[in-house]
Amino acid sequence: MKSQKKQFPIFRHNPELIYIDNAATTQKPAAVINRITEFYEKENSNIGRGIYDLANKATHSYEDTRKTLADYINCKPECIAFTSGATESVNIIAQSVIHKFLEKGDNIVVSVMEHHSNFLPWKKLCEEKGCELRTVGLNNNYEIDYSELNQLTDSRTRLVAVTHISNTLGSINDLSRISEITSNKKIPLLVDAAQSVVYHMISTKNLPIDFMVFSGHKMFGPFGTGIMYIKEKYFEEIEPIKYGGGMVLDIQKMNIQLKDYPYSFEAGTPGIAGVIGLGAALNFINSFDQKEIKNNLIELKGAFLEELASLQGISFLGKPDRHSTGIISFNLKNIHPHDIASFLNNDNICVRAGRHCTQPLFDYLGEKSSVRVSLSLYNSREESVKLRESLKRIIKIWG
Amino acid sequence: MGLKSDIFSNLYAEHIVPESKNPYHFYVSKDTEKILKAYNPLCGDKFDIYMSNRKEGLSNSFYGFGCALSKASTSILLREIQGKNKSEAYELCHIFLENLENGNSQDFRNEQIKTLLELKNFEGRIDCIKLSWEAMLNYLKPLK
Repeated sequence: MKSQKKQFPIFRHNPELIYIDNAATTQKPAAVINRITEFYEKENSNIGRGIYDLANKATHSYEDTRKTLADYINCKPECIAFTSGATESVNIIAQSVIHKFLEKGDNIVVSVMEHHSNFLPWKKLCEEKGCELRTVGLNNNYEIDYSELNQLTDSRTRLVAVTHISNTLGSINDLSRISEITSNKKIPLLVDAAQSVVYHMISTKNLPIDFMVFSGHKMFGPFGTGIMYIKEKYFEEIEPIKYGGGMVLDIQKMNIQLKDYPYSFEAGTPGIAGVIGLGAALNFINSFDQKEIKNNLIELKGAFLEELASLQGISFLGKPDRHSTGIISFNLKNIHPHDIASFLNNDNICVRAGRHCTQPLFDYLGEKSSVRVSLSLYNSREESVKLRESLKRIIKIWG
Repeated sequence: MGLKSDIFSNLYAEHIVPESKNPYHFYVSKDTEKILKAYNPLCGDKFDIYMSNRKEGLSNSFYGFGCALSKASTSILLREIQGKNKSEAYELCHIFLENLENGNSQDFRNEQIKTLLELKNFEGRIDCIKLSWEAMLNYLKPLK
């Protein structure tokens, strides 16, 4: 497979850049940047309100993204609402849906590997409602412990909220096993798919998933674009948490009739250019052979693992060789991840260091922090060698 | 590697790494008046600084986990203020932090402090340098 680097202008402006922090955000291809510019230059208008051609065109482009997304995750377009990101999506689901079902003494189950964005909203909600937040640990493969999940879910469990792929370990959780447990017990399931996009997208048709959230900026799209999937059966029960223009069907005196979901959840003027840019990102992803880019990622990850494994004093978090994601977390003996990241930065290598918004996971593993490498389709084998050489120099300085 | 990278590596190799490997007064003090928390939730750095204000001046030690830079910076700070009175220590912290933020040309004679000030030019690490200095300033401020 040809390197896709040329499609990303940032590498033209920074030819030495080695960007391996893709779990935080991906770079943006020219197709996305150009589409946003084109919208502002030629099509700029608000949506859903104007009668003129420009407004109609903007509305169509905006809604086209919803349709493309629906095809991407195999659902009806009306199941998808746009938000500012995965974090906002989780918070909206917590406050507008799950909040209604919770009574004192109920519980919500999450896993220990959750990103804070799929942990804190549930912790807060449980505290407010006098409920228990239960946390499932990991099995030997550093996936969710499915037996423990089964044990911790009971007749008072009102939601299981888990990530598909760990942003720290790169572990892929088996959603078939998880959803089997939740559907047998008739418990709603929320999936955080923030790290699944591009290589491991989930089909909502094949799995009994009630809610799914992810962000556009991790799939080559613009910042400020989030996706919230809600299953149709909840449409009657959910209530918006934000009110404003664009969501109203009719107001007569004090009686307000709102539009249906998802429009009732998109109050005010949304991030129109961002959503249209997200559409371009989806078209960009859809232009690839999914199997090919996935195989390429696995091969590339193998090369990075091989180079890293040759280093003195390296230890990996989890089992990165077992899972087909581009995420590798590691530590070098006696060298703090932040020092490593600083030195790598001086060699134009961008990695993430710290706890990656997964502090409960680090406490569970008995680790303080880590360096995280996360790959995408513009990374190369040559970069794995440069990373190894740079790390070798750091090890030498520490002696 | 470019010049910037060379300077950075040299400062680390000559000053920061050795200081972090043999930090000053790196132990838990049981007989202490006050424990300062120098924590950075973003990266997980956590140092407890044990302070006592005695007749002969400030006495201290520290213990915890952090990067080489934050550890070395804390070590340098504690060595500098050991035995000083509160006003002197406050003045030092105040001038150092002002230099760090505003780039004032206050001349420090201490080579290690100069190193810390040079390292402020490397993006993203200023918080590591000032973590314990800020905690110390806050501790000394009301006492001044």
